[in-house]
Amino acid sequence: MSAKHYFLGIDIGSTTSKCVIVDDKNNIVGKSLKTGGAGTKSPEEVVQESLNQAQLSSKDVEISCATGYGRKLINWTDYELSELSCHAIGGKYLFPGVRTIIDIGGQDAKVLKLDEHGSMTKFIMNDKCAAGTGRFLDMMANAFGGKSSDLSSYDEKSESIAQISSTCSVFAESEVISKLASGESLPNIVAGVHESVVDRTVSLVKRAGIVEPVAMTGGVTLNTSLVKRLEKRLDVTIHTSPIAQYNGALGAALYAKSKFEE
Amino acid sequence: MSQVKEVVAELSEIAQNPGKQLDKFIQDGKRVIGVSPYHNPEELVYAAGAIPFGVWGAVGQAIEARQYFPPFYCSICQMSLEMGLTHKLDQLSGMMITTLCDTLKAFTQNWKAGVQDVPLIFVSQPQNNQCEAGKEYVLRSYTEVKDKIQECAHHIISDEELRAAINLYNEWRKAMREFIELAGKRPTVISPIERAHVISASYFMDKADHLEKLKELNEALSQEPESLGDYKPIVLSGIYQDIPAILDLLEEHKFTAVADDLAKESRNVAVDVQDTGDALPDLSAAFSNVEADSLVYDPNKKHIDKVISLAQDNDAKGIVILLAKFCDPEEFDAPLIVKAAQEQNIPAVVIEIDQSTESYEQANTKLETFAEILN
Repeated sequence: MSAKHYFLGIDIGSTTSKCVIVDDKNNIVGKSLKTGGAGTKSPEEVVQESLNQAQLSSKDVEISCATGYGRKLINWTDYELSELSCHAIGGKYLFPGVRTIIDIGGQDAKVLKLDEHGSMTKFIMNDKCAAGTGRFLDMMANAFGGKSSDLSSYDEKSESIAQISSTCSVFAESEVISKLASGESLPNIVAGVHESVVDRTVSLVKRAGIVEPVAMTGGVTLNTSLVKRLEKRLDVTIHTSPIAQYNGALGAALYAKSKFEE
Repeated sequence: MSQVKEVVAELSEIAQNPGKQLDKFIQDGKRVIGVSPYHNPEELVYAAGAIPFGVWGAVGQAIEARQYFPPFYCSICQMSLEMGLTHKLDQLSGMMITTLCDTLKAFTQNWKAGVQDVPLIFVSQPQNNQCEAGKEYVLRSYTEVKDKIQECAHHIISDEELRAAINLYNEWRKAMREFIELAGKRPTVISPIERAHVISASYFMDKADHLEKLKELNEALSQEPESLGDYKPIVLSGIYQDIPAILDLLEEHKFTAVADDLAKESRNVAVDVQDTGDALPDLSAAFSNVEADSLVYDPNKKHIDKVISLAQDNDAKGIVILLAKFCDPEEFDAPLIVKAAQEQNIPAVVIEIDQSTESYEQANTKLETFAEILN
């Protein structure tokens, strides 16, 4: 097969949209990520940006696949696949031999178990509560007027961990405000917020059962302090990738390619 | 095939419009008595010449019931009480409520306190149903229940009438078991949604009429070869499945229940009443024979083994546990079923369901992924 075919994957999440275009040698030739998921203009924008980056037009795309929370809101892709299956496919490619994938997205957290061939055998998702997800971190950052991208650097400066005991995101936000009012340092509060996310993630991982190697995907991987805390609690090395946020879209693109090869 | 579709259309209409059915019974001059979950001795109602009418909640939001129940209570009880408090069940001559879980116990008293126009028929059942004391307790309890039903139905139940009702119910249970087996393996003839409607309709019909329809269906289905088409054979476990959004998702992702462990479906028709002489002791003995069920004392967890056996014996590719939100008995068993399934290499997934949930997007993702795994 000569490198003349292109495959597009789009992952429309609850908070972001991601698009990846791969060629028939699995090279990523275009990718884009934008804030704004289902119901926004971001899905079409990420597609256009990815095509521009790859210097392609939509006619050059052989097969496309949609995934993510908003996958059913677009009707122009050839296939749709659940985000868990796409994360498994993408994770297998980004982290060869991986057996456990932890994905913390905007409003859900998932743990995927893969067998030695990279096929998903089990998955666990958080329930309807958004505590322990990216949205929870956004809310906590909002509570002190910061951004979630600042959380990691605050945590690095922590000296102890302020206990955040509420399981509900709304009550946890009140708790953060109350800790700030009582004079607790911001880095210690952020460390507490991170530990709270780690608590929930660890329980999900333990429900699934952990098998190494372990990888983590989703936007929360950019929060290196949180990843370190999770590694420490699980006592495993967690592999991440600079393009871990694109994992779902990458899996969708690779799935589209596999359909072409069929 | 056309015969199947005709009968199914009629039963689907009834399943989706229970209010109309209730109005019809009242217009025909019948007395109707509400029957809550689980294992209610509704043969007593039938023997009294009244119509037993299933009250298992409804899809919607509880507003008035929140005065009596905190939000973390089972939606079947919340929505049943809501219907009572908003006068949707005023035509009932009585409401039988059992006590097999903590929420039902509270429900009995909340009904009594809040629903003035429909008398409570308190059906006290022991979870420890197989010990001698438990058996004696059920008989005494059913004796009281019989008295209360007689009062509500304005009819003294003879032993012969009760035996006739028991015989009819035994015949109906047998036909239901046959239907469940035939339908699950022929989803291309009768869809999983239609199968669920046929079962749901039984809660709102005179059992003699439902039995007649079942016989027609079973006869027609038995003429059709087993045919899964592109459906994936699974076992459904849990309390119930008849929430339209859930039925749609199971259909969309092409699951067919080749066997089920649902309290509202197979578990409800699992135990027949024996004929050893007196009808009432026989009826109470049938409750003592309920086993392998999350709702009764099950020290050896036969319920778990039963679900696994159902999957193995029926060549199911996986188990879907429809976990009723805030249902304690089921929440204790669900992780054990998942673990046992894992040990037997049977994929299993837990989907939380609730009559007041408006969005099932996460359930959709889980079921879609589970379908992809089974493929």
